[in-house]
Formats: sequence, structure tokens, C-alpha cells
Amino acid sequence: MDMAPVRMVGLGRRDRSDGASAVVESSLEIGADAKFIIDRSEISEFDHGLIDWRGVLESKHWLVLSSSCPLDGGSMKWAWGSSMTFAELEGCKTAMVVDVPEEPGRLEEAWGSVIERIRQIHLIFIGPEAMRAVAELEGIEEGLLLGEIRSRGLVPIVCSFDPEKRVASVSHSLGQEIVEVERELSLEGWLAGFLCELPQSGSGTSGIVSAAQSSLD
Amino acid sequence: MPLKLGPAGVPLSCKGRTIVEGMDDITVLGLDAMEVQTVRTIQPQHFDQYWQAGILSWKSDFEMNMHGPYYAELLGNKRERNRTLSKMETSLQAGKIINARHLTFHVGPYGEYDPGTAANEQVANVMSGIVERVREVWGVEEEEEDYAAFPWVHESEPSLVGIETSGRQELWGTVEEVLEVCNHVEGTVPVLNMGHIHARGHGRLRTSEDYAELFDQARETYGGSTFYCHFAGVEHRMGNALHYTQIKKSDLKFEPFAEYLAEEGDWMDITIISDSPLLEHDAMYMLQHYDKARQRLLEIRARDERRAKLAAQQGIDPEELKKREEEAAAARKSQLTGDAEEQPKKAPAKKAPAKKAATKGKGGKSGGVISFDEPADEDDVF
Repeated sequence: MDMAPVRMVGLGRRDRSDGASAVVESSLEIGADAKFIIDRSEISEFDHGLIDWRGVLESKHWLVLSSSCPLDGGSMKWAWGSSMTFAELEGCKTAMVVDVPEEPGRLEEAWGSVIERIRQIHLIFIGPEAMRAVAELEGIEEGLLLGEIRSRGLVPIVCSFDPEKRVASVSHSLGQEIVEVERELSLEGWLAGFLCELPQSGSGTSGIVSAAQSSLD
Repeated sequence: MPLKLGPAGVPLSCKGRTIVEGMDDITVLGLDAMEVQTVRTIQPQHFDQYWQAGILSWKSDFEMNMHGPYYAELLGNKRERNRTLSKMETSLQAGKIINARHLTFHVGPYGEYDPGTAANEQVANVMSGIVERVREVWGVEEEEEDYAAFPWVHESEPSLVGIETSGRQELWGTVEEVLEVCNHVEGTVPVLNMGHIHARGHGRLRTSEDYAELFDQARETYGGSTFYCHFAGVEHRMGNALHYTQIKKSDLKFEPFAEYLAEEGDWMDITIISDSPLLEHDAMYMLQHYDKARQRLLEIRARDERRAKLAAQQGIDPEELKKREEEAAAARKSQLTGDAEEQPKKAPAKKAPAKKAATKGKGGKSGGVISFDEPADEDDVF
């Protein structure tokens, strides 16, 4: 990246097993100024009261979260909710990675938490596996899911990436884009590139297409 | 004027996430309404929570409301319509348990219909069916014993069915459409989502007169005085809502609405729900602005009364007294302006030495004015 690096923070599990953590790690690899809000540790609990939200979120482009984190309960659930409110107040945009929880039966609960906060989310990313599950949950055809979530929740960007087909689908305020990506990329790799490009490319159709095509170079 | 304000959901700052905990927090904030979001399928385990909330609202003056499925297809084909109706059935059952005063529903896309009478008639038919169903589930005499723990079911009026305006051109729900259907179906109430109306009207709600026009239109068409509104900031383009924002970041301001409510809203019974991304924060912001507007109005009224009394004492017309007061105020203002003009002449003289380095080489006479621009030039790397 030639320009100033994109600044992002991630709130993920301390063992880094969730989608948001993977995206933050991929972003670091491509030169973003990315940080974790909670340090890596074997102990999952932490004191959410000690987080200086304003300090952490001030002048950041993105707050990256995982949909499965509130299922951990306790501090994580509280921190997950608070982070979005402080992000809204600080002008930091929230990107939500919808991942399938370790207990797939709890996806509905996780998705319910996302829906409850949907007005605070700027970008929702749903991987192919989660896409099938959410489509079934919502009773919507998989092909229509992104557009439906966007128009129902008025979320500015709802996107997905299929690493096998190398195709990204992005539903945004001005339409829907299907973008083929030349390089082989992982889910988190594509999303990291997309998040790092968006602040520079802008949220118009061409900006979104160019960000979606961005590679890890 | 009965005005109730509250957030759409459990407050973001609430440490607990149950509805009752949310109600407690809302009351502490000085707000008195809440809209429960039943955007997902309602699970049986939620009913205990709903009942507790119902009891609390019944025993206090707290208004509970419920939002139905966040997307509907009432104008779609039979399958789509039935799917929506079954979701709505869950909402209205939950609404009964929670003692909801309003049940808010969307209509959804125009589907097989063009905008116009046929679509409105179809919506009116479906909505009258929903109103009937609400009345069926509320207060069934044979079930009175079963519902002993739910006194409101027999003692209160059934929930009003709210029909919400939509924020996108492809969705049924212009103000005119909503008012027309509400006018024809008893038991319904228009849900004026100001963000949607503003977006769909290409930014039409800018002044208190715009709100007056909107409510005059409602009064003429729908005739009722009960209103249920949603308010949030909105980003919009080409007559379509793009996404919700906090009020401060939107071109839809609350101040004109507050001004209208304070000045002309006496005839209304209105509930305003904040569905902004900063739920309760923006609800508080609205309450503050409404209080300010009322305070301002009271001050104006007090001043007018004082003037009328003084005029009576002096045996002159209040208008004449007003004129004299305005002249005196203008004289005072010009005197103050005169003083203020003299002061800056002295001030730069004191500051001049500090700015000297920056103004080196510039004309000494206008140095005071130029020195304000100099730091900007220094910062300019080009």
C-alpha cells in the first residue's frame, strides 16, 4: 500500500479462533495499522471495564467484530455491544464477520445479536458456510440473501466471498456487484484487502468494485 | 399534550440485556416508552420475559410497543403473504403478553401491484384482517381465568395496529398511502417514520412548517390525533433511505420537530421512538430539545403576558409597547456593537509584539488584521 495505512481494531477471542481475529491478522500482513483490543491469552476472561474505548477507537477506520463472540457471554458479550456504540460515537465504522459458531446450533442466537445491533453496523461479511445457514434461518434464497439483508436492515454494505470460485458478491446502497478476483485468496484475506481499500476507493459503485478486486499485493 | 419518548430496544448502555432490565434503565433516563423488536422468530422462552415486562408496564405508566417482522411482503403472492402473516401472528401474540399499545408493521414491496387504489385496497383488506385478529386474541371471555395474571388483556383496549411509512420508492408506504389506509381501517394508526418520510421526500422535513404541513395532512386525511413516530438520522439519495445515522450526523434535524410539537402539538397524543444507531442517547437528545423548545415557548408567553399587563397599566396598546421595547433593545444593541468595535482596536495593539516575528515585512498599519491570516500561511507547506 502506497498511501497511509488503514487503521483498524479488532475485537476477537483471546485465542484468535474467530473470524474477526483472522481478518485483523490478514490486514496486518498487508500493511494495515491493525490492532487487537484484547491481548492474546490462554485465559478467555478479561475485565471489559478496563478498556478505554475512546482511546482505542479514536481515528480508526474500522472496528472488526465476529458474530460468534457474544455467545462467549460475560465480558465478551458486554464488550462486543459497547464497542459498537463507542465506534458510532467516534465515527469508526463497524465491520461484522458472520461466522458459524463452534456449536452451529447457536447460529440463530448469534445472528439475532447481529440483527439487534444492525443499525450500528456499516459492513456485514458472510462466508459461504454461514451464508447457507443464515439463508435457511431467514427463509430466503441464498442468492437473494445479501440484497435482502441490505434492504431490510439498511446496512450500507453486505458482502460475501467464495474462495473456491474466487467470486465476491457485494450488495451496497447503489446496487449489487459480482466481482471476479484474479488471485487465490482466503475468506479473511479477501475481506482484509476489501477493508483496507474501501477508505481510499470510496463507497461509490466503481470504488466498491475496485476495492473488491483488490489483491494482497 | 401526551408525549412519550423511548428507544427501539433495550438501551445500548444497559448492562443486562433483558427487556425488564432495559425498562428500568429507560425509566432512570427519564424516558417512558420502549419498542420491542421482534425481528427474529419469538421463542417460547421469551414469553416469560415478555410477561414480566407486561406486568411492569401495566403497573407503571410505561408504554410498551412492539415492532413486527422487519420485512414483510403483504402485497406479494399468496405464499409470500402467508409467510408474512404467520410472522405477524407471532408478533401480535407477543404484543398481547407484553401489553403493547402499538404493534408496528411494514407492508413491503408493491409486488404484483402498481402504486394506487388497488394496492391500497389490498393493504386495507389485509390490515383489517390483522385488526380483527388482534381483537380476537385480546380479551376472549372464556379465557379470562387463564389470563388472570395478565389483567390488561381484559381491562385494556387491544393494541393499535401501526402501519409504517417506508423509506424506499419500491416499497409501499408513502405518507398518503399510509394515511389513506388508516383512514379506512378502524383500529390502525399511522406510524410516521420521519427518517423514511424525509428520505422518500428528497429531504422534505427541514423546518417546523414542514412538520406542520405533514401533521395537517394527517389531520385532514386520517382525522385521528394518536400518532406513533420513529425518529433517527438518515442518509438518503434519490428519494431512498440508504442507512440510519445518529441524529447529529444527518440533515434530518430534531429541533424543528421539537419546535412544532411545543408550539402546535397540543392536540396530539404522540409517541416518538428513537431507532437511531445511538438508541437511548438520541432519545435523550430529543427529550432535551423538546424541553428546550417548551422552555423557549413558555418564556415567550410569559414575556407577552408581562407586556400585556404593563401596557394595561400604562394605558397603551401592547403592540405600541412592543414597538417601544424593540426600539430600546435596538438602541442597546447598537451601543454594545459600538463598544465592541472599539475594543478590538485596543486588543491587537497588546498582541502585536507576539505576532511581530510572523508579520515581519508586512505593513504596520494593517498588521492586526493580517496577523490572523499569517499562521495559516506558515502551516501551508507549499
